[in-house]
Amino acid sequence: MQGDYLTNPSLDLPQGTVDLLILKALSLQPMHGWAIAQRIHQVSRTALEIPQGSLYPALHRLERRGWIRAEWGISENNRKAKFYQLTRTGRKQLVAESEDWARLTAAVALVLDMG
Amino acid sequence: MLNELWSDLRYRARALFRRRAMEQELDAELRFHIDRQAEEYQRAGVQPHEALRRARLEFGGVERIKEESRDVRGTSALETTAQDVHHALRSLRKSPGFTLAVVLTLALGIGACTTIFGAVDAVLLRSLPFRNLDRLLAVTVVSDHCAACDNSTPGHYLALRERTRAFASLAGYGSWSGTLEGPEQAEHVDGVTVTPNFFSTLGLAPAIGRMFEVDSSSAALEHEVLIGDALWRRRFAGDPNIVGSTITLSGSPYTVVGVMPAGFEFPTSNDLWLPLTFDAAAVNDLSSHWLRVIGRLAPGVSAVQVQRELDALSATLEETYPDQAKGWRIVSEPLSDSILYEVRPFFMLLMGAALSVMLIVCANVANLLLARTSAREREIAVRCALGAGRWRLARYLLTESIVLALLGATGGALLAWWSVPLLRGSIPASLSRFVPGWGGLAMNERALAFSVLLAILSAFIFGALPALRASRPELATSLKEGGHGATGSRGGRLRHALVVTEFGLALVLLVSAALMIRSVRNLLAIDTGIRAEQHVLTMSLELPKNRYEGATRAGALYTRLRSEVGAVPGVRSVSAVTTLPLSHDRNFASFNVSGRPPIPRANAPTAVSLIVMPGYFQTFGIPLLAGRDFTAHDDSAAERSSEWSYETRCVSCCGGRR
Repeated sequence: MQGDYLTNPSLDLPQGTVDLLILKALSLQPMHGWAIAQRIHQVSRTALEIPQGSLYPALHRLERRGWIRAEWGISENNRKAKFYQLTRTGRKQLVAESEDWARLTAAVALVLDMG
Repeated sequence: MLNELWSDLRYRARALFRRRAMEQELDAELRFHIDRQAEEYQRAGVQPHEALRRARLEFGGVERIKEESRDVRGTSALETTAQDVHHALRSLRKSPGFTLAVVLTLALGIGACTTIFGAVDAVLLRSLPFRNLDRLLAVTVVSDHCAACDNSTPGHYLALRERTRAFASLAGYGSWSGTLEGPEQAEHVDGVTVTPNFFSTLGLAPAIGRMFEVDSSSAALEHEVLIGDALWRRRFAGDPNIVGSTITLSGSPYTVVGVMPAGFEFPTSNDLWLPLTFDAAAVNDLSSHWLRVIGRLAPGVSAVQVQRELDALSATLEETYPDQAKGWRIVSEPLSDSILYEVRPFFMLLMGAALSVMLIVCANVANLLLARTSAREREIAVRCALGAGRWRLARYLLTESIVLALLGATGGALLAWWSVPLLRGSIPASLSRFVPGWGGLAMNERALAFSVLLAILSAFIFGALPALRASRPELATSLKEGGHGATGSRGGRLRHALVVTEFGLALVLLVSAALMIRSVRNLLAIDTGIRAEQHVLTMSLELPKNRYEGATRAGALYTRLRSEVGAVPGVRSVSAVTTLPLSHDRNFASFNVSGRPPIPRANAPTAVSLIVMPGYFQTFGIPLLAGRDFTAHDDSAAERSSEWSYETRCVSCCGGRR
């Protein structure tokens, strides 16, 4: 999809938002990596694209921190896939980071609306 | 927070120990992603082959993503180290001569240091394993008239307990020795008489049984005894039911109430502890200087406050008992100082010497490493050319040094394991019981930890210079351009500097050793006033008081002993004395010189006093300056009026007083 970006420009993600998006995506149900990328792409109406290079390192970082947990399961196309789900700490973290994000964007919006 | 830490640890541990499984999972996970994407394209009508190609292309560098995922695991530093250790071992195996020389040198240094550390640890660090040691004080009564006196008296002790508030508790103790009797054999035992609160003041409890009870009457306490771990194992085969049984000490029955833990050696290593109580008259005895007193400070009381209170009490006692206490001051010092002040400088000196040896070893090894680095210029240049950074290269060389040092530490620990018992045996038991903690000297896990720490520290000392030099960037460049030899002179200067350092250190050690040998020679040359070399045999004898009561029965036994031993062929003279010359125990007596105005007892000159049998001076070869030796016909009254002089003693005390 990286190749598509000339025809279908997606936004650059600020540092740290990848984690938040992953957590949010997983808050609905356990998912594997590909599905997470798809979900974010679709829900954002193809505006957001998680770079392939940072999706998996981010997943592993979150797993190491104990915010998400991984388990092997059977995917929708009947294959073995690694499914991630939120842990209790991850759920708390999602709430906290969402609030931070809301405050940040509201503040940025305020400043931009000023003039 | 704690959750995150735990999860982090678990993840890293898994990454470390299940590395292969984790790699496989990562591989499967990424492959699934690509296949899933390809499937998506196929569904949109792309040919299978083309779909896979596009998915792969889009996904980008699988290896780069894998590498980033590995970095996330937080174990890359460890893996690099493991790799370095592996390389270092291989490289060292290739030059066995060098490795052997370095490891042996290090083993000698580390072994020496570890052995001495074992002694320092046992004596200076662990000989007083008491709760809050810094709150324990030794309380002594001193006077300008008697420099050697540092004991307290029963009267002072009881006054301290009664009239001071700076101490949470005060305990007293004195030495005791006697005979432990038994059906098979009797043996001489050394003990301590202690006030019942002695152990609670130190903050210690027996390993088995109980302490003396503080509230017990003296009659109830009189026949109780606590025995030491060594005696318990030696004499009673470590019988766990020893408590409550009766043993016979110097003719009287005693009930064992407890066994003290192993390694409890305060004030010295002892066989047993007996309760010490005072009768009513003791309050007024301020002249028997035999009691030792320790005190635990009350919470919040400072050393200054204590001394103020002690000064006030000294003044009161001087006023109340002018004839006994005039001129005597009560002073206190930290217990650890009072116990260790004699041995501390000695062991610090030994430790210093051992560490100097270690520094010489480090200089030596650094030199060898520098020489080796010069020989390895090509290898290092290749590594540089392949893109190893300066820090990376220095790190590898340091790892090599640490590997060498740890090999050396293994040798050193083995050496210490062999030499520590040797060191412990180097002091005869009769003397070593006065070295606090000496019995606890052993190659233990603390000494082992010390050797490892020392090894790592010295690896940084001897490895730093070669590592920094070898990883210098210009070295690599110069090598690439002009082969080798360009750095020869600089490396040579560095090595010369190291040799000079080594030489200086060795000289310091040599001079110190020579001075110490001279001191020992001077000590051996001191005229003790005794001519006893090799010709005098001694034995000690303890008569049970209840069976040899009064002077007559004991006197009869000693007289008989003297004549019978004297009849043995080859024996020239026989005598007996209360304590052997130059031994630890001394009895001080105050005296007045006839013909001079009498001096109050508190300030009277003192001398070491011995009770001897006839023939003592002859046996020990002590010359009489005037008069005659005692004879068997001198009774006790005549003994007192006999005029003899024991040169050194009398000159020192009378000369001092004039």
